[in-house]
Amino acid sequence: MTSKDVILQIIGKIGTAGGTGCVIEYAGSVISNLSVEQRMTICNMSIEGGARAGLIQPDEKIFNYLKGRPMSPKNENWNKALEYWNSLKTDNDAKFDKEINLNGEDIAPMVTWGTSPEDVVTINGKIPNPDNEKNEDKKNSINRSLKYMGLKPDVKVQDIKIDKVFIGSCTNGRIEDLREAAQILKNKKKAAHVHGMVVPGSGLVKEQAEQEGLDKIFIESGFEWREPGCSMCLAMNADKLKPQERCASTSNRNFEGRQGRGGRTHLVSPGMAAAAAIAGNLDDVRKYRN
Amino acid sequence: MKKFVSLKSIPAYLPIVNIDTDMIIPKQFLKTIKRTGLGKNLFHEMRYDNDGNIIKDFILNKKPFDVSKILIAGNNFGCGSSREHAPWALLDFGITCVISSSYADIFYNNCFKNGILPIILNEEKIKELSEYSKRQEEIEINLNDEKIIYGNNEISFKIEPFKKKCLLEGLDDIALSLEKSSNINEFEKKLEFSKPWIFND
Repeated sequence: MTSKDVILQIIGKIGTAGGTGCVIEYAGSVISNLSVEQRMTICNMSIEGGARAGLIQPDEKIFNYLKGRPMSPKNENWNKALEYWNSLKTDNDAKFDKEINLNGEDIAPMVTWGTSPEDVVTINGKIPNPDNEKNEDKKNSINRSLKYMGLKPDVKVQDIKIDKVFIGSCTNGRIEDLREAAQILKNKKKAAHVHGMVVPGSGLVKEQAEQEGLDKIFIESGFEWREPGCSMCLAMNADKLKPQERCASTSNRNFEGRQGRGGRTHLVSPGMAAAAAIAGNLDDVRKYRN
Repeated sequence: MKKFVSLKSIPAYLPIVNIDTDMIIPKQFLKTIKRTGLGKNLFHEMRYDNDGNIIKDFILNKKPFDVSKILIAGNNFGCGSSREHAPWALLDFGITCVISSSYADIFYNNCFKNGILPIILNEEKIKELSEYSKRQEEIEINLNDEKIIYGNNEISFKIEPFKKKCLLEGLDDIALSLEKSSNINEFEKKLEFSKPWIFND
């Protein structure tokens, strides 16, 4: 289970309007055990849950992460900042407008099937059937999404063939994300029909990945190793899906046309994107972990 | 910012929920920071086919809705990316009032910064209005009275008094903030002392 699965499950539960008017604070043992970069993925996708922002109370992990970074305070300013940041703990008796509890053990690898980030299903699940939906608006919305996505109700998620894999974006383009994908792809080849690209989130991430030799793992498995940028997260440049092409993507949005007109996006974690590249269809990353 | 006081128009009804800002104005049009000229690409992928031809069935391509100033839509309107281009595109097309049962937070607030009135009604009232829109008759929005008048009926809506005042008087955030620039300077001076690390050294 990765932080992408956590946030996709949360959005699936609260809906894309669930956080409207709120800032979401994430807490609990699952969250505090996550690394800083994994936490960023969760906070980043708070917007997809309708919130203005997402936050996690600062702890030693955060302070260690920030220390010595290019834009971090230095010397005397660092000590002053640290003292202040240490005061930013959530009060034990803090009251929240809404509280949602999830059990970490129940969180499986998640995939989106539709055209909204709330359209989530576990990798072992099936495409929903609009006939099971009583609310007329929701039924129409499911039908519209299925039509756009070229999917039939009740199809097994793992039977969905993909054309492209995109690993990158502000949601999942950090060094830990690239490590997670590289670990799955090491000594393996992507499926022949799949086109895969890895786009580091920044110049520093690219540099570090190359120092760690991750670029070679990606290239050897058949991926393109690209310059940092937004790339196919939103298809503003030439990196886009053709109509009806299907993509396993580590980005944050699966709206109609987001990755190119008529393109079909399935949001997944970096590990799941790597697994999909190897299998040629959406697949359970847990089969590929060593 | 242009004032919003009242408005008469035939409303267009778009029966889709979760209309995201990528649908309102797709990303390929975001390379501009000008607020004008985006209207022709509003709802681009629903309005034009792959070859750029007009899709005749789409509501905003059909007369008389092609000049609608009022858009009625499904819930959670304006979700997704926080791009201000979304209200700019609506405005440039001529839509200055949106009616829905709910909005994404950032889009909702962006409307007020651009002279667009986003009205919130319950689903029942939305149904009523959307039915009425089939008659292709003008309805009237009166912000001062917080009322929508259609035929012989009217619906009341609620709006935060400060937001209402800003729309009625055409006040935007920047103009309002600049009125307080001496307070801002004072605050920043204090901040430089109490939180020196946020002023990059």
